[in-house]
Amino acid sequence: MGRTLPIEDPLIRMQRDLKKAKAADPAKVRWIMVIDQAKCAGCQACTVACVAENKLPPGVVYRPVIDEELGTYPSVRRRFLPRPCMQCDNPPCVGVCPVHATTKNEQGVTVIDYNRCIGCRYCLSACPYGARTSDFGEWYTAKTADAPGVLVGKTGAAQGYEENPAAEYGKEWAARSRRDSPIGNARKCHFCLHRLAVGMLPACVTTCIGRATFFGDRNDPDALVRELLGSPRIHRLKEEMGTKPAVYYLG
Amino acid sequence: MDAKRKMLMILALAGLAVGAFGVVEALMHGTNATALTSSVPWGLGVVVYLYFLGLSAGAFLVSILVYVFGLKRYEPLGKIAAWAVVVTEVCAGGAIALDLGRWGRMYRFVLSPSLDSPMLWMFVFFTLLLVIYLLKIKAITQGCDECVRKLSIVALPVGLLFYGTNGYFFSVLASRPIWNNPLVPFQFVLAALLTGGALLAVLALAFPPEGDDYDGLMRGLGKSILFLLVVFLLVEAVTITSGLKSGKADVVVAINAVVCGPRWWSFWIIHLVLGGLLPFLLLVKNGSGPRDVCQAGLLILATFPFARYDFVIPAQGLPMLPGLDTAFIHPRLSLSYSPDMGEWLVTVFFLALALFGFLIGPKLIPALFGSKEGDAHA
Repeated sequence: MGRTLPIEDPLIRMQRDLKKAKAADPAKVRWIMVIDQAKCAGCQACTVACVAENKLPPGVVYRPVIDEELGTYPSVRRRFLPRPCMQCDNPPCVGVCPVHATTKNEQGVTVIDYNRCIGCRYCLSACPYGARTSDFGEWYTAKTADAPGVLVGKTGAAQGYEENPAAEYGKEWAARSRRDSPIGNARKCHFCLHRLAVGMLPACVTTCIGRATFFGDRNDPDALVRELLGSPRIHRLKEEMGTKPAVYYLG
Repeated sequence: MDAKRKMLMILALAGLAVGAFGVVEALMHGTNATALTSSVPWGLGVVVYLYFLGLSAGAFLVSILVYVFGLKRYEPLGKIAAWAVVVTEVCAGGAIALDLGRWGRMYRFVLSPSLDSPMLWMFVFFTLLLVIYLLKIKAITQGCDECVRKLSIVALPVGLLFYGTNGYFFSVLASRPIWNNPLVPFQFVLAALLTGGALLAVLALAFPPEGDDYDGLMRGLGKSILFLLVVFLLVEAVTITSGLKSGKADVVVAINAVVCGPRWWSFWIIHLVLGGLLPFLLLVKNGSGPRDVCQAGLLILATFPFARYDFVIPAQGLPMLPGLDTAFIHPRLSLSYSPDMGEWLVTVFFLALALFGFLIGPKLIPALFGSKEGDAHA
């Protein structure tokens, strides 16, 4: 049996690209994402996968999918625009943070230090893509009847999902409580850095049913994403603002 | 203490007691106790902060009149103004601190400051101004006129930078075209001077300063307020008309939300008629006396929170990307914002705290309030 399938799934190629990037000098890797709108079916699997992966509370979303209706009846069509954080090379959110709680990491991902963020929400106002949300401390089980010790009770449900923290930024966080970060902080997509650290693609990429989301190293000339950047359909959102997003769209 | 002041003191204490519920809730639950959303991240807390910081400019106005324009007759107002700065800055600082998602981390401004951020400079100038005026009060009580003069001169650039930085804070936000306007920092300085002058007019009638030319002083203050009011309204008119003619969809929609949206009455009736036209008529009429100047000041003070609300909230009523507001539905992602009970209670607390501060001032530091302290006109 040969080493490749007759038709290779893009995920296999991206996984190979990721392995290569992980072996490269970290300072020379620049993560980018390419989203093919022609392939996006608007299923929102990426949104849900992201919520589950990062254990996002109510009212916090990293990757909503905008549903656009174009044209007038009977010539109408729908177009979908998944909107992760653009990981801008020139991010307006970083400059406005008064306490250096949000910075660019070595691979170009904009990160938030939850233990430093004061929750002023200046970055929320500064982001032209609305990619940041504030964690207002909401709970899915807030209105669930409490019945300690019973499987379906609030305590059981919360312990099963809400209190167990995600491994965001590759850190071990304390159980979600009413007082601890990230409650009160700004939150955003971070390209699943915790997954990349262990050689896994971001959750939104692996769960995309239409294989519309591509991820890889912009500086690798052989990477799939680099190939896609050559498409005449490539564009970035609000290019005129000079933010230089690392998320590209194939329109 | 006369009957009117007793009533005001009871009002202040009642406000503090009722508002304390909101403050405790904010301290315990942070922004969970607000109606804020990720689409409208700044609400009533920011409005209250902007209002109080404007009031604190009264002393700044006196400094300009005395030390820049050489109008020495305003010097007696400086003592009251110094107290007004401390009271209003404490209220402004308290309101904005409680608006933070993690107020307990404010020490981060000192430990990991980002010099690129306008908010950091707001914090720096805010603190500097407060320290300067605390020192000034100490100098006044010790009778050191030279120290008062030097501190006033230092306060001038610091105040200018502080009020300008608050406007700059908004104007750097390219994502919000209606704020992203070079006139905004200038408007903030004007608004601060206008409301600060209005507060001084009220305080000057309540606590008449020493000196023979009291009527002349009040008439002069009235003329300054009139000038600032006219310039402020003109700049506002320029901002609105140029914004409407710019053709930028975000700007036009935000302006329309203010002038003909559901809260049109706030702009036309409260801000323009009650806060603009009526004070203008009171100040421009022949023979307007101290009482007219005070009434004009009261009208400006009472209506300016509406102008600040209209500046802060409608600008956030548009999604950053078309359709983003309906992409993922949750109340905390909504574009609509209406302050909840907790936010109103916090507002009541700080308004009551300011009133309490002005009422307790003459008892606490009598030297600041002149010899006629007991003869309140208001």
